Amino acid sequence: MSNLLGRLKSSWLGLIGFFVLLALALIALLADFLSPYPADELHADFSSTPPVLTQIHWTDPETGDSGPFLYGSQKIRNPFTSKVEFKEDTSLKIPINFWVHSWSYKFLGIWSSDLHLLGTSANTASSAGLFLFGTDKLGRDLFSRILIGTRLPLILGILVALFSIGFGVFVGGISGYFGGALDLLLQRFTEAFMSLPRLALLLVLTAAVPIGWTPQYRFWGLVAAIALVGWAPVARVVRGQVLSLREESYVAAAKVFGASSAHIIWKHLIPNTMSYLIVAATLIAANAVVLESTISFLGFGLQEPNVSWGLLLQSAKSIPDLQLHPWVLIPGCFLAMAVVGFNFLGDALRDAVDPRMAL
Amino acid sequence: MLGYLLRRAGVTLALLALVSVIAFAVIKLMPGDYLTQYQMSLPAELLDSLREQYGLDQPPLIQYGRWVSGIVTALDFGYSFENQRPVLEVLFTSGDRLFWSLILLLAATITSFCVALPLAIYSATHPKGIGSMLTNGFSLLGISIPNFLTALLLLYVLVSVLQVGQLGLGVAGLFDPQYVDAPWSWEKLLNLLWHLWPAVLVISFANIAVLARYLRAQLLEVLSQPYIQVARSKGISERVVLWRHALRNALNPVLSLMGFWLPSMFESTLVAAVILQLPIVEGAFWQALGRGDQYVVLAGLIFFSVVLFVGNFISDILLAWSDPKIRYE
Amino acid sequence: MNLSKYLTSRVVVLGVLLGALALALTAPATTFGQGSGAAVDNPLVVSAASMPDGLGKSGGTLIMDNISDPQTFNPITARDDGSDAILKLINAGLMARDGSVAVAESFNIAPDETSVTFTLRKGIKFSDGTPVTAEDVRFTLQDVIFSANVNSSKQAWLLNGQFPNVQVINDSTIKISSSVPFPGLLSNLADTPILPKHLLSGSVQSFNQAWSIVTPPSQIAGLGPFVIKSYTPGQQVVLARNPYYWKTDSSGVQLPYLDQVILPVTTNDDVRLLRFLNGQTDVYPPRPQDLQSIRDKSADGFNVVVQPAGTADSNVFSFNEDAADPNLQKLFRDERFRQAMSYAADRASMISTGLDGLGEPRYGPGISSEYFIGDDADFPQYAFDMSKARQLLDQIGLTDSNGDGVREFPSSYPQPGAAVQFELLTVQDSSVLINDATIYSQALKSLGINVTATPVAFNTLVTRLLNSKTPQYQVARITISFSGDPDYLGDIYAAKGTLHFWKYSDAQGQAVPDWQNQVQQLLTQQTVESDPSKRFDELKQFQQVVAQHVPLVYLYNAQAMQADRKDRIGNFSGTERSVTLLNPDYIFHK
Repeated sequence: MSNLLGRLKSSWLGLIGFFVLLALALIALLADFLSPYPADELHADFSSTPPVLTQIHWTDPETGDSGPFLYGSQKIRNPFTSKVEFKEDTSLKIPINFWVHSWSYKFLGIWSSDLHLLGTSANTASSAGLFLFGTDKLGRDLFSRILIGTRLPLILGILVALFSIGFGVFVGGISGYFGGALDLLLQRFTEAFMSLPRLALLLVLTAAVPIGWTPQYRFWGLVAAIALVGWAPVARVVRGQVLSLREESYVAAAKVFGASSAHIIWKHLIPNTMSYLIVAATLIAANAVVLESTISFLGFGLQEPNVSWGLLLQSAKSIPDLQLHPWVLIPGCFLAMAVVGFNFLGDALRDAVDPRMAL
Repeated sequence: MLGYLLRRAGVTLALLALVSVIAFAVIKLMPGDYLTQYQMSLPAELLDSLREQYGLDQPPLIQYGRWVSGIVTALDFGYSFENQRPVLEVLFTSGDRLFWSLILLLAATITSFCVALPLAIYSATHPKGIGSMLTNGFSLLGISIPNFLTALLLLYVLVSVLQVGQLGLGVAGLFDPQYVDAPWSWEKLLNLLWHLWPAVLVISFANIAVLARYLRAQLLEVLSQPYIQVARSKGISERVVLWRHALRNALNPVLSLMGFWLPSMFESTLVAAVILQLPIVEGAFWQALGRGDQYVVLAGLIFFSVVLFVGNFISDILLAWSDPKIRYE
Repeated sequence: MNLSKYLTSRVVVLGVLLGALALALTAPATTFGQGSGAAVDNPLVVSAASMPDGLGKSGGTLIMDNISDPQTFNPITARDDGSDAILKLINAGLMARDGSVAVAESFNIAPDETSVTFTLRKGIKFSDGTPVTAEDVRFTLQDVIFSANVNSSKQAWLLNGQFPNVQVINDSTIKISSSVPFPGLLSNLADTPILPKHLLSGSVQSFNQAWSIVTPPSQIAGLGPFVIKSYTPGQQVVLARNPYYWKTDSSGVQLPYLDQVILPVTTNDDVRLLRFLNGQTDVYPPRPQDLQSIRDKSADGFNVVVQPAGTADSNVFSFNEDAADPNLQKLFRDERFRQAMSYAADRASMISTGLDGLGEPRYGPGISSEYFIGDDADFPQYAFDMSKARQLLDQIGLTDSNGDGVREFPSSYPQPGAAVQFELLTVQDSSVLINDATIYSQALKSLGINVTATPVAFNTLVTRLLNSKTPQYQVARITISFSGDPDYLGDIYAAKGTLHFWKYSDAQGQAVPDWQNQVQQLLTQQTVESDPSKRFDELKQFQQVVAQHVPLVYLYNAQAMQADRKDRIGNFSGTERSVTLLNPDYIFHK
């Protein structure tokens, strides 16, 4: 294991992947603190506001004061197109403050806090908002939503990896260790699962979710469904490895000493497949994030009030919307970052373990 | 060889049977049952005859039996309650959906190869150049970014940045209305191509990266083989080495790519069908999913599995035929 | 019942449908003229003054996207917008929507108002060239619409539980009579296409399957301006001009002006917009969010007309008073709760975000039409007011006893202590409905009520609302579209109505509240009321009672919009429910 990490250090792509993931994990952890607004807070007056990130001013041309601030914005409903247009109102200066006390949340679900990295004072809320990445149609802050939306995909990726590996190891281990008719049966079963069209099956599985399920149930259902389409390759590889390992002398020795099958599989065979499993877990997590976002984007995965990148990208599904509000694509950058992070790390790990490993 | 083929076909059929059971079980999980759902909207006689034909009031096992025997004996994949037509028609024949699906698959495959091959050759023969780095970066990104996101970005670039919409981006359908019923002509073909290119671009874009990366790895491996070194030492020109020796050998394993090529194509084709409204099998499948039209969904799932099986089967045969090292007993 | 006539997944629909007119009010508006080269001896002449852009010229093709594949070409059993759009163009009734004559040349009301005699237009023929006779009219009504075998819309035809009597006087004269005056007769006839007996008499027994989408177009005939030329499933429907159409313009030119109407099947809203902007279609009913893109191109001939709010649509939240959950059932039947729910609806935010401001808040079934006065100031209005909502919820006894931010049911409920939560169904891909649901669930959350908003397929929603004895949902955000004809209100508001999807009826032997009985009584009364001012009063009272007791939480009326290519198309005056062309006969191609 330490060997593995040592070799990982020499791969700069792997390191990038590692740090990207670390950064995303920190974002997920500190999302509430980093968000200027609660992710589900509506600002009906700021429907589809463009990002203000580019409108932050650093020095006041009149007074020469430095420090970031925004100008107030005037909302004008264009009588012709009926769209709300925002115009900078330079008479009103809204400073952006750091370490602000505003809405309260529970850090890690335990400690209450109302401290936030950024914010504007509450009495200016009606004239401008700190919408760094703009807002959606309901006026919800996209920046805050993206940060909160980091949580579910990452958690889901890890859970799916755990479940897929767990089930794959279970089936593959039994299949490889006992051999014979059981092996043949399990192998065919595994093969059938591998040969199913992944996305189509996943879509059908998620479409089969009963309408009454709460968002929490849906999340677990999605985890189960993605794990269900992902465990088979693991089972196949684990079976192959166990098959060759069980001929090793130390396994034979354990058998002679009367060790139970479960003991042999768990204590002797599985640890030897560990490096493969770590690599597989990383790549399965990457895949799970892709699948989750795809399914959520298509409308069959997670659902409001849950937030995930794929769900946020749903509003980009309509080409005219995309044309008018291109900032709805920003969550895509984060999604791509996460997947690239997992893939870089996984690739580097694989190269470190065995470049010819088939996955 | 024949023995291998037969055995392989047998295994495929057995797998297909297993897949159909899994698919049927999953579909039965879907909420709603036809008889109550369509009580009000379909005439009673029709419902009675459908109940009779598919055993809708019978236990699931009998329903499954009826459905399978319908497929085997009469190519009857079930009934689309939403469209009030047989599934075969809804999913495949109406508007030649199957034909257009295959055309798109073919067009996108050819496009992907045509782009990926030069990219792979370039980056394999110039491993140190900046171009190679760009190519690698592009393919790494292409592999990582989900298909639907690539499609969205591409459409955004086409519509907003390049403004091709002004010229009439061929969205929705494969022809302009005046050409749909017209006999084939040059204008009709051009119109088809005009409608086809955004779809083909969206579908092949993500797959180019996958293909380029794989081809490059294969090429690099072949180029390091001793017989290439020998050929080079004999003074054969680098071009001949590349085209005669390296590429031919590198392409062999590509045949085995079909196994993951087809699912990857399916994913991007589905996204393209959803966003661009293409009248293809994937589009019909998508609509049926949203409406819970269970027999159509079921048939779609089976169809995509069959495509996969056939793809794998063909790639195995091609491999066996092209690579003397592989022997099948 | 034609369900799609009432429930729509779209929000923007055109509200120019006119309600039924009383017999006494209607006068034939026929202009007589000598048609040169007209297909009919005595054509209906459309004056240039009634055409927005004046007389047009013949020829050309109009392209308009159809929102889905047609399910059938049978105009009696069709229940989906995709079929309706086509069938409205190829069929016509004895009367027109505005109460003027159409296929009938004239009509004569008996002095006691219990019978009307219609004379058919002289020389009128179906689109296959077969003459229309009184027998065809009788066949359509008696053999088809009144037949128990046929899946037809019968409610509006029942007068005190009886169908009117149809009597053929001679080849071109027919008499329809009833025991009491039948105020809705003429408007019913406007919605009833006259069918060719010679093509359909063989299939009376299996009429529901007649004229399916696989029937060859040559075997389908009607009296509308167009006939089906071809249908390519998944791609398009092509309509050609009906050579025997019975209208001409005032210079004697045979209508319709257009040679062809092509209806490509395009199911995706956004793609339809894109195609219109790309110039691939000629007309398009925009959604609020489309306005900007279309108006940006107004210099290129793109034209949008925004009509004032007042469509016949009711955008509502419906609470299922027969919900399976006993707590919710009791709660939803509590009038105070529904009033609180109306207080909690932030209509202004819904209109400003979902409709880009193009709508008006509503607090009752106010519909602009002859008989409807809209929301009157006298009517009770439970407008957005969170503190009043909170007050009412407290009054009901729903309090947060364990401090988790969610209210619990008091001991007077079947399952006391349970958290107040429910599931709110919306329609997939309908951004406006989902928008409303998000705003609403947010507001309810701050009131201490947990809401799970779930988008489902439109058909799933309809199924859950309507297709069983008790509706299978808790709360739903839906749009009821309504033709404006008060005779159809009973289907929705009477406790036994087929579209009374929030039930709590006397079906299970439970006594319904007094106001519900009053609604029923008012609606039955007005169907047979021949004095217009009395009818007006009854309907006003109906609206007042409904606004008071909030069986549905009314939200807003959306402003209807129409867009067309002024550079290409003349005389376009809109679509009905965003689906069917309103004046297909004199739209022309420039």
